[in-house]
Amino acid sequence: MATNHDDTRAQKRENIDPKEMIRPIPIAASLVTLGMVVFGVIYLLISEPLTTAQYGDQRTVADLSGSPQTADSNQAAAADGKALYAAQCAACHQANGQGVPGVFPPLDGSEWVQGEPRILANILLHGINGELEVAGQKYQGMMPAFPQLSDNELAETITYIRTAWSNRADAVQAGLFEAERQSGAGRTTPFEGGAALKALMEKNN
Amino acid sequence: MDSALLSLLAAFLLSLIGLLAFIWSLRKGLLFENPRAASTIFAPGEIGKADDPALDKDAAKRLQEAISASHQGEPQAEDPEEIEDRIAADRSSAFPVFMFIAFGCMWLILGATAGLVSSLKLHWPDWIVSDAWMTFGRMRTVHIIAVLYGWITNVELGIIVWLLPRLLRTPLKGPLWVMLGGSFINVGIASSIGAIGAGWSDGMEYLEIPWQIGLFIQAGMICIIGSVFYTLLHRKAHELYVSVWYHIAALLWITLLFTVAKLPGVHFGVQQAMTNWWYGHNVLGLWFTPVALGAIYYFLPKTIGRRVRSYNLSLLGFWTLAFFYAQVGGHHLVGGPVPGWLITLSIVQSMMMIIPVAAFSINMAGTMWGRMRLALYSPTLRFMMFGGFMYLLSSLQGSFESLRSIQQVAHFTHFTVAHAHLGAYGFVSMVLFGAVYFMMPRVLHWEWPYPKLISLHFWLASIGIMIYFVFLSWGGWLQGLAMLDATREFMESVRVTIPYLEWRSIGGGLMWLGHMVFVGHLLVMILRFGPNRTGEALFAPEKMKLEMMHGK
Repeated sequence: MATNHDDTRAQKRENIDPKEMIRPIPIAASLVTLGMVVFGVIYLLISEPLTTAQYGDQRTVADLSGSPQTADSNQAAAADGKALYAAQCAACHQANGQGVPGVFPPLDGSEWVQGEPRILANILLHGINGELEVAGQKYQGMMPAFPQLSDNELAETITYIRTAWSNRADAVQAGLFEAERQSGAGRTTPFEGGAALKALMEKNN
Repeated sequence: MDSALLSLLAAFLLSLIGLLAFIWSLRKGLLFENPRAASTIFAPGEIGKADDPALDKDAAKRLQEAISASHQGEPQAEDPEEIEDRIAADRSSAFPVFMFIAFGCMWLILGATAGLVSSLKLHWPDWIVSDAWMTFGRMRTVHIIAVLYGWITNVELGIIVWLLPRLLRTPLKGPLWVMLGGSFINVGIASSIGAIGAGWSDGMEYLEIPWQIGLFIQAGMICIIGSVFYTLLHRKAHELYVSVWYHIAALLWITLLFTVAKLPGVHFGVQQAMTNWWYGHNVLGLWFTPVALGAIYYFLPKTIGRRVRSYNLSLLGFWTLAFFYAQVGGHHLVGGPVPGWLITLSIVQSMMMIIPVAAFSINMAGTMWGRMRLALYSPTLRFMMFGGFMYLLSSLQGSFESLRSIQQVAHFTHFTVAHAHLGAYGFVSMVLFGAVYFMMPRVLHWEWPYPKLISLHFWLASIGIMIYFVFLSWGGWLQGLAMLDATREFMESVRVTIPYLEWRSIGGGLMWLGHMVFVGHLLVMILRFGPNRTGEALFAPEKMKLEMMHGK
């Protein structure tokens, strides 16, 4: 501590510690208090928090369920092929459709994707387990089946992959899946690779 | 009408009636003796002592006469005991207070740097990303821990420990316990920052600190509370000034909040989200805010040498906050899978918070009336007034922001971030700066060497936060509108914010520079490099004196 100055001068020079005066609450503060209480009661009454099932911000299920529903009975919501691809396929085939070299075959430029839609539909319905040649390269992998998706969703998905990136093939209707589900009902295992797919192609031709 | 709705309404009204009855009984001394109502509120003879030792004797005498005249018959005689108590109180708390402020300033530099880096990353996404700890997710979390727990909490503890012995007129009991508690807390903060950098986090907003590390913070708070309560029990002051209510209550609240929110293995699912925001909003309203309000209640009248306008308003403000604040957090979950009545009640209570804000603001405006010009001359007052005004602004904004109609646009946008900074920086941090400028000469027995640097700090910080707030709110609102518009791609709502994010970085950069000036100045003061000044650090001592003499 320096000795050339008074250590307590700051304490000595300051104003007195504050105190409070006793005064009635100003009319403005009373009015604000009263106003807020009235607001609270009215808000509780008009927002009906208990009588209707709502999301917290007053939107209802109808507001949140997306685009208007079609009259077309059981396949209600319009499917979004791109979103389905991102959710179901992109983990292996990648968002750019290039797959992973040597592991997951590409969809972009694939002869299977742009070829006969009936075969592509069967791949999605039953999956593949065996050797498959895509764009000149052999793959030894397993493609799962997607029977849990509706016909409409499957059709939107393959329409998307047939037209995305550099692919330029025709769109596919949900009816194709309906037909192929019935004709392939006997199959319980995935296709055993490219040979089995070719056999299917020739059989129906 | 639904019987459930009736019971909700009845609960709301009954709690209000209960609160009014409680405040009324406090005033009338029904529950326990109320010394204020019974006897004089004036401590014997003190108000309006001239505060400028730079004056020569004659000038000091004139100043004292002018102040005396302006107080019109209020008791003036000096109470020598109070000054002795004050000196003893300051001496007892100097070491712990210095420790808290020093740690706080260290974390301020770290936290502000992490914040600025995070802000820059939002428009330079590829800048310094080579290691996991440099990425936005961790950098932003480090910023939050460092500024909320490191800076604000440390300095607020410093203010509490410094003010209570003064207001209770008792030396701090067990300063070593306070320092032990402070060490625990800062070990906890340092470990949390390391843990978050390494990717170990509890993953909830404001509760990222892993609970194992949280134990240090809880232990630290308990040490401090023990010492504070021991001081309270041995107090010489008869009455408890309003700052004492805020500070003691806030210490208890934060400890309870943090302990409950951090209980391991208890919170799951929707209930966890509700606990998260129960804590997340309460840590602002029941810890940062009441301590800063307590500080304004002390420093503002202290600097201008006046008494606080109305004890009744203080009562109303404190107890409405205490009774209703805990229900406010639910409005963060608007749109979530949470019962509708809970959200609605939380929105009503958020709007009810206008009552304490109005009570405080009217009280302070009444106290300051006619002396606002003093903010031109006194650094502490300037920071405190700015902070108090931002409290009014950010609280009103926060109340309306809880409404569903506003949230529809503002929720999940930068608008909320701007609001959070207006509260935590524009209000709380500015008040803390003002308090540090007042406290440190008493703690270090050394004046601030360069008053001009204080002014520079003020302008950097205040212009910085204004740029930050205005541009980020604006950009956030546009972002919200873009997200609502179904015809626009989501990415458009991101792109629209970029120029505003750049302005935010400019505002943040100014604030960061201000912190460098502030901490550098403090370092010069601690090391006693600068001139050994003798007078109070005022921007314009001569004008301050004239205003005190001739002002209303």
